[in-house]
Amino acid sequence: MSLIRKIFMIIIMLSVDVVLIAHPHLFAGVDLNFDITKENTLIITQQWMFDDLTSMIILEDFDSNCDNDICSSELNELKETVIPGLKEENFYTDLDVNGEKIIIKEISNFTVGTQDIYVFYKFDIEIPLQDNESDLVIKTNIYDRDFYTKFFVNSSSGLNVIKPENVTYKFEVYENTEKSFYFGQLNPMEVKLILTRNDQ
Amino acid sequence: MINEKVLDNFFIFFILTLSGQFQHKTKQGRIPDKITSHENVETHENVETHENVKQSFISRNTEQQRKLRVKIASSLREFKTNTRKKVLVISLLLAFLYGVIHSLGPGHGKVFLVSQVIGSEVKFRAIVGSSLFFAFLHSLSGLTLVVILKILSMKILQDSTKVSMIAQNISFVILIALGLFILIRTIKGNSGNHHKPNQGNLFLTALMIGFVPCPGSIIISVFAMKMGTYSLGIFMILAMALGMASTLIVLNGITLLAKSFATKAIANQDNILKISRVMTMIGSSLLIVLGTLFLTYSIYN
Repeated sequence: MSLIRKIFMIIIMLSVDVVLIAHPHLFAGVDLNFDITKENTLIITQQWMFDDLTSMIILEDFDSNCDNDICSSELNELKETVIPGLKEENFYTDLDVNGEKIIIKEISNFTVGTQDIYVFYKFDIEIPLQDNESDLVIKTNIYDRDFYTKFFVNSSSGLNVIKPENVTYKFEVYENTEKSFYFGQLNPMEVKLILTRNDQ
Repeated sequence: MINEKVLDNFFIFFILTLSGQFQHKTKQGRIPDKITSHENVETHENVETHENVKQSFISRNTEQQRKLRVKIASSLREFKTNTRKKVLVISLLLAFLYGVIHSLGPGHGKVFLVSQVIGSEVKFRAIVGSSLFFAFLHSLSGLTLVVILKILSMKILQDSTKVSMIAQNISFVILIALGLFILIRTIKGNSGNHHKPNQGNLFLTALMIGFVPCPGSIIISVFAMKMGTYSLGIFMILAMALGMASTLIVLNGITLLAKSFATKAIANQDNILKISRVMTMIGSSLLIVLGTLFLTYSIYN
């Protein structure tokens, strides 16, 4: 290996260090619940459970009465501060239903709570489905392209489905190499849910 | 005298260890081989996991940072009720290790310091000094920002990011200006002066990237504040800075070593000044190009 090549390799290696602000800042574990029991609607409930240090910062910023929880008035302030930014980022969610990309316009039931020492955000995304829809393939990628927040999908216990009896389902969770982000250095974990109706 | 082959192997090991980040590129378009699946199971005992994907360096680094953050939070909590020396020592060691791992991850502008090590005639002593200067400035900027935001009753989560982004963009502009200044001076200047050690650019670069607040120290500051363990928080930030400096000293030291081998290999008494001049031009050009690229990226995002 030539010496020039060695230097070149070091420079390339360090070139991924493209920003001055360290990443990621925040860490969140993600649980996903898919509900297809409402007529012609898919409801995806997301829960982001932040790590210890991030939770403490959220409480420091919004828990005005210092009871280690977010009450309704604090929640309103948090919503006003946080939701516009999340909306701009499509709630860090790339969603694809039967091959159609979904832009999340609104979320509902946004709540913030604490579990032990951890703060969580919880909200629903409602997606209208067509009448004649039989089988469904839902692909969900939750990731922050700027890598300020690192999302971990809790694939072993955080994926759930609420469905009619005649529907069977299958989850697949894998790294989606086609959605590489952060200068191509990271891949999101894609959650693929396949729902099959058995009454035909 | 160190054997060239040993150095080669060390370099290969070093690069391979750190360049796991490039490996996933080869997996583009392949069927994902890390699949967790469960079919109609109410419990999750049947989950099958195939850990075939080699994690990238950044993924591994992030996971290590996450684990360390958990331990740091625990140690700060424990110190609140148990102020024994053992807890203190463990806390400081954890903070030091977090500094090492944290600075190996994305951010901190390591590439700008490296460009100056390549471009300036610097001694190892200057690398140690500038790395320490950068790390302490970077960490203490984070602590200072938290104190200012608290005084102004601003939101740490949102506003610290905004302030950091502004500071980062100012840094990029000044780094571009610094690169232009060095480049023009080198092109215009007397070649006889270029072999003189020039530590100033390295320290100036360290100053420019160091004043961007460190998110790691912001987080530790807030947590220590919330826990009421102020003194431990400050000592942990200093220990973290020492850890960051260690990483930078190693990275920049290796760059200096590689540069010195390369210079020796291609330079002789006749062309050593020319080589030195070219190195300075490369270093300053890197500042300009990287600064412009990153500023554009930052504004675009």
